Amino acid sequence: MLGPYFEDVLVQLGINVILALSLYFPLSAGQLSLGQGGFMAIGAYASSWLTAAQGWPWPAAFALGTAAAAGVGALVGLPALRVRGIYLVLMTMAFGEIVRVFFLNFEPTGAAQGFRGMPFVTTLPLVAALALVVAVLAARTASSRVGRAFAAIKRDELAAEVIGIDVTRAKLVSFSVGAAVAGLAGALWAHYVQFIEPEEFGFHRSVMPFTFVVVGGLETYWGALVGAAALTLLPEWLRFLKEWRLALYGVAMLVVMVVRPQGLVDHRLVEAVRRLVPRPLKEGAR
Amino acid sequence: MRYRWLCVVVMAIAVVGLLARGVPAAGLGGKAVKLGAIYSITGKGAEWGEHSKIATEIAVEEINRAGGIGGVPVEVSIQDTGTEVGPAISLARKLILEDKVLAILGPCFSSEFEALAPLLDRLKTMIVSQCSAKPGISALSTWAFRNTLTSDKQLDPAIKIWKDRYGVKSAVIIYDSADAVSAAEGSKVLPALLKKYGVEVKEVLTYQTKDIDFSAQITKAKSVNPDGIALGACYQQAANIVREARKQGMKQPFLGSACVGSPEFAKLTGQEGEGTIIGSAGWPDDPKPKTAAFLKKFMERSGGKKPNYGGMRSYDNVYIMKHVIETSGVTNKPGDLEADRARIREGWSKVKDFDGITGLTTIDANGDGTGKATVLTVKDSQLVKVEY
Amino acid sequence: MLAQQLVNGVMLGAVYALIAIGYTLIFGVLGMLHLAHGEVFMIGAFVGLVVATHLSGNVMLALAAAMLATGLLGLLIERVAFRPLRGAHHLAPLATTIGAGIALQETARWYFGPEQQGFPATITLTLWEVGPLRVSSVQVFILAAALALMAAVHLFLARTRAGRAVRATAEDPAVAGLLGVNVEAVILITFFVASTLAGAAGVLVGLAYNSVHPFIGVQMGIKGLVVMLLGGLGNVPGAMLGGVVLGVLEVLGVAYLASSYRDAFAFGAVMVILLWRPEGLLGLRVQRRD
Repeated sequence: MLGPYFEDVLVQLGINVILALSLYFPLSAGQLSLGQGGFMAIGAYASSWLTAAQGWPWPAAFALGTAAAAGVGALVGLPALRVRGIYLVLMTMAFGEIVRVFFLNFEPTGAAQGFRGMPFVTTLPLVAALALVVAVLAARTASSRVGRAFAAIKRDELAAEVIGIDVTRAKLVSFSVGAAVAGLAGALWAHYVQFIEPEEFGFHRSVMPFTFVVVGGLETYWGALVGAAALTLLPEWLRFLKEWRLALYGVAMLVVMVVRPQGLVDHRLVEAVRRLVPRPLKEGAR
Repeated sequence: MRYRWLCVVVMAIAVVGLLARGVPAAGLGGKAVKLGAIYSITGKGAEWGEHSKIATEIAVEEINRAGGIGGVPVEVSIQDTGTEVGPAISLARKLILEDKVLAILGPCFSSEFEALAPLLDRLKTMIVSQCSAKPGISALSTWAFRNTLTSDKQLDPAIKIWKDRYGVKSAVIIYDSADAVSAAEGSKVLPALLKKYGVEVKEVLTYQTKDIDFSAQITKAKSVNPDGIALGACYQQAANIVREARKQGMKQPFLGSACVGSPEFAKLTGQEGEGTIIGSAGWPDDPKPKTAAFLKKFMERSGGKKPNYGGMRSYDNVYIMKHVIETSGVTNKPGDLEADRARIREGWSKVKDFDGITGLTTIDANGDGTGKATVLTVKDSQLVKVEY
Repeated sequence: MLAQQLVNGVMLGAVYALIAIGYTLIFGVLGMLHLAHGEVFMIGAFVGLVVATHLSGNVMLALAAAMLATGLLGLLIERVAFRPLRGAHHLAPLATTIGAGIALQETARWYFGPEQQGFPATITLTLWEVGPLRVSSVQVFILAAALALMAAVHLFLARTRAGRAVRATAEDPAVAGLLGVNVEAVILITFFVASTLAGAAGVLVGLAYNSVHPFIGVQMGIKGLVVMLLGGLGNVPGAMLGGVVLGVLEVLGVAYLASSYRDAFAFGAVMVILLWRPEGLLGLRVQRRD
């Protein structure tokens, strides 16, 4: 059997995978967000307030928390349509920080002192199941019409518009689906640690999924999965290094990017692995 | 009928015997008595955690040299929370679930304690804080203990001395609204106690733990010209607030408690902090032989620094833990882990007049320590006790 | 009180401006974000602290040592985190600099300890009363140093050959290269200058606020990014103005609202600027490199 501590690590891994995929959706349409921490906060706080203060059953609270994040995602996505590239990075970063400042001042959820009282919901099977659902959603999207539209926009927005893709709608959808998934990660996290505070959802939280996806690889959703797994497990493997653990983590990140600027996983690698896997296994994914 | 009498008598004798002599040393199984400690060795509470770590190591060495707990050596796995809530929770879970410790020493900070306490009903392992001072939070769980004084108890005599010594009639409160104990002090404890002693609160100002610039707060405080400034703060920020006030030409005396009461505060502020009154829960220079012996050992290991009250109470907590384990029927057999943990909790709830280096410890119905507060003041960059 | 609060804000703003100038220079030349710039600032603060505490009490020496050390550090970061990635995806340097930033934080934590440290009170504190204002010798030094550095950067960019090359490269690297500008050298010069400014800012923050610790760069780095945006990407005078504007806004926010609103201004301003005036406050030049 797995040790309880290892189970804890796996729960975090699952939540990080969901968080990484939350960034994959907007990225697949060429939109980088450094504000996923903000959406995570919205999902975490909304669901926690519902379970702890309103006594809602958790599935309903999770659903509403996710929906709230999606709604705010659409609201942010709208003005974000006007900005791109580095400006979008800075704008989403600012959004994430504004959400943090909001919760820092929002008394009903404890303001600066944080919020507690939510039940323990997030077990390993639940996280694993939800991570799988999100991963399948990402895989399905990638091979669908919508996914191809996203990819076209990512490559060349103008060309995508010319061939009849509704760029505005596609970008909004990608952005708010990403926000919803980040909100789900937030709800899971909150009902795992049973205590949340605004500082947890600051800039470093938004940077996390970004590093997962960039280190894992921007080309396919496998990159997000592998990146989240590698960067969650790496500090555990490096535990023997004691206080040098995080320094080496930083160096490892740098080295990976220098050696493989496209990230750990690219299309070629996915294809190579696919050829190795015997056909019947692929039936399920169809 | 006669048998029942006999049983009661035998049991009574047994209980009296146990209380009087403790469980015989050979009573414990296992290779070691495993305890965990979650201390804030880095981050904003670094000095508190560092002192707790040193004090714990001293106590563990002494105990093991004298034959351990119930004949078995004690091992304390000390973990660093970074004074952050997330790691405090995950480290407590690791110690309880993976390392299978009998009980946990710490955490020091109220924010950590407050978040961890409600989870203990599920984890079924006790914690005992050496410095958490926010009033009321031990009541969150029957598994949550604090062998220390809450900040209302620390501040009450301190405010009286501060008011009398400096003739303070009006005050400004500055507190860290992101830190649990500081916020409780700034928004509840200080206003209530200042009112009790007839000090008018002219302005209440806040900052956030990570802030480095306190110029705006001091300029504002200065504009209402109070007789003194009361802080709900931790020592680093408190020191910077004091220095900023002097820089802007304010000469008023400061008041603090709990997290301000660290020798490092006196060192950082130096001449500028002279005369600050601090409510606290332990005096390292107590001439009592036990305390003096501890102080000597502590200073050998800390490079000459004197311990704050968190360090002193950590030392006491290890000895109380030894006492509880030896007297509450703990077997320390792997199969008895859950029962042992419950026995230790039970034992802690009954601690009464334990004679330690900080004085006599009695745990009240909430799981909080009781006793007389220590009032300190800064003199020549040192913390000195004020008699009252 | 308002006048004193404005002084407080300008002091804070001067430091923000120094960090932001570095950001904006690097962005102007490379079109890339340097997310370890806050850590360069942090290392500068520590180097200054060590020199001032252990080697000599001389603040000028501490400033010079910190600037030299961070200048070299900037070159190192350019070598390991930027140069190998020329032509790679524009997000890749974000990841390498985040990695470099983490490594620098942890190295500083190991070497200097995790504690917040302050400069020794060696500079005798003289207070001057100017009307209702109270200004300390430390504040005058900080302001003077910041202004001198900004003037130096301005002169460097406007008057020297190397400065003109930097501006030409910022305008268009390809054209500058064709016209005979050594783009690689320009990049190195830019990193060196930008990093020395961050190092100086680190020392000034240490002097002003006595709060040097390994993670201080994260917060300062974000503020620097905001100021860069306020001033307009790649716009040096804009960064100076943006720094002061943000410093004053923050201080007034704390004074008239609450400390928890300190950051609301910075990021609220970013949203407004991006939606309404993406070229920044001064609006001298719009630089869009998507």
